[in-house]
Amino acid sequence: MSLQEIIKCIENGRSLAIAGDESLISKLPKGNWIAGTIPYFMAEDGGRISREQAFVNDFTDMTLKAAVKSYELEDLPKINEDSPEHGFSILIIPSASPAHIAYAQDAPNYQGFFMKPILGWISGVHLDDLGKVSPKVFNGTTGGVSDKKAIVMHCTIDENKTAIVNILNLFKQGDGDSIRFEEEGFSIKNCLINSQQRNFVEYLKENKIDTRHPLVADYCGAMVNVSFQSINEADGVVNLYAPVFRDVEYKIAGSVDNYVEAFKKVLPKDASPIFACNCILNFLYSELEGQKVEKMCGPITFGEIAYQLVNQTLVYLEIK
Amino acid sequence: MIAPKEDPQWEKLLYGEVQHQFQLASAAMIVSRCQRQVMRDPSPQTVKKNLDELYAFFTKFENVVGDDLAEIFS
Repeated sequence: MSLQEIIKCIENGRSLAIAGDESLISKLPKGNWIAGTIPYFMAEDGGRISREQAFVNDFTDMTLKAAVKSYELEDLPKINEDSPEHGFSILIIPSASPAHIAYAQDAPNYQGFFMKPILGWISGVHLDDLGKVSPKVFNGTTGGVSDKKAIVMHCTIDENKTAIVNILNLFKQGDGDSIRFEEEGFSIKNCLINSQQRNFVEYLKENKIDTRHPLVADYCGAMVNVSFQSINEADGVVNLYAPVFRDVEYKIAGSVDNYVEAFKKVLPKDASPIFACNCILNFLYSELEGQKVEKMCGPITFGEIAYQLVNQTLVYLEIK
Repeated sequence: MIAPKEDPQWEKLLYGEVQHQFQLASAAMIVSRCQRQVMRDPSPQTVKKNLDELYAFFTKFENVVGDDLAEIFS
């Protein structure tokens, strides 16, 4: 949507979740909306980069109530408490903020987590602006903008309906080594390879691991990726886009040759997404600019939230 | 109709003795988390807490986890 189209929706009292460049979002009037910064999208006509248009999800007609709330770092555990008993919550967190790190590490242990559908994304910036501009979130009801707080739209739906968060992950665990970690976090030095302690950097180098392929954990059928950000050989540290956890077995993912073709094969025929987001690493590594990913339109993100933070994954919401 | 909490299959699911690949992401993630918590701390209190949590989850989302439950409790 263009700036003018979005303004019209806001003025009509619509409840919106918006993804767009900061230059566009900062011109929007107050209203019942939330937003995160990102200029990358999967549009109906294919992957696109734009600072002049934004992607808008309008939840007005499918919700009984859509309440906007900002959360400081220390209040993140309350997101789940505030989430409606029947409904879903759309959560956006600025990339690299303390809230991003805290949510990624701690959310799976919040009280009552998984009992209420929470999904969303990590806001980012144009890759040309990395390190120059901070990713942000916006609270449309107050006009507030932040590179530290999380923003949420808590959506209540009819009691007879159920919100379902789906993870569409083309990566599966490869048939390589079992990898475990005794330390948790985004930056890792050591690991256990088939129960033998190793430096993770050395292991990746020696085995010529293609770090475009994420680590994959199998959570009883839900494949959860942790993507590689960088390898610091001098310090012997591997930096990741999401934390790894103790007691979880990871494996390097098998390769996906053609994302769009592979995607078509796994996309459920009856999928009816009302919200979707996909990872910028899929956008870059699979060269999705200009390519259509059927039905799954939405922001291209610096991390996806399907309850907890996931990477290199398409996340979508259905109401059944 | 969801199986009663006393059904031994719930405990087998919690201890990972029943292997199941869930279709619903949240079901897969909560079962995995509960299994890991019990593996770390197998005390009766932790087992009960996690059994209660699993039962509450599957009761709330019974309408969308029916196929999974049917397989587990068949």
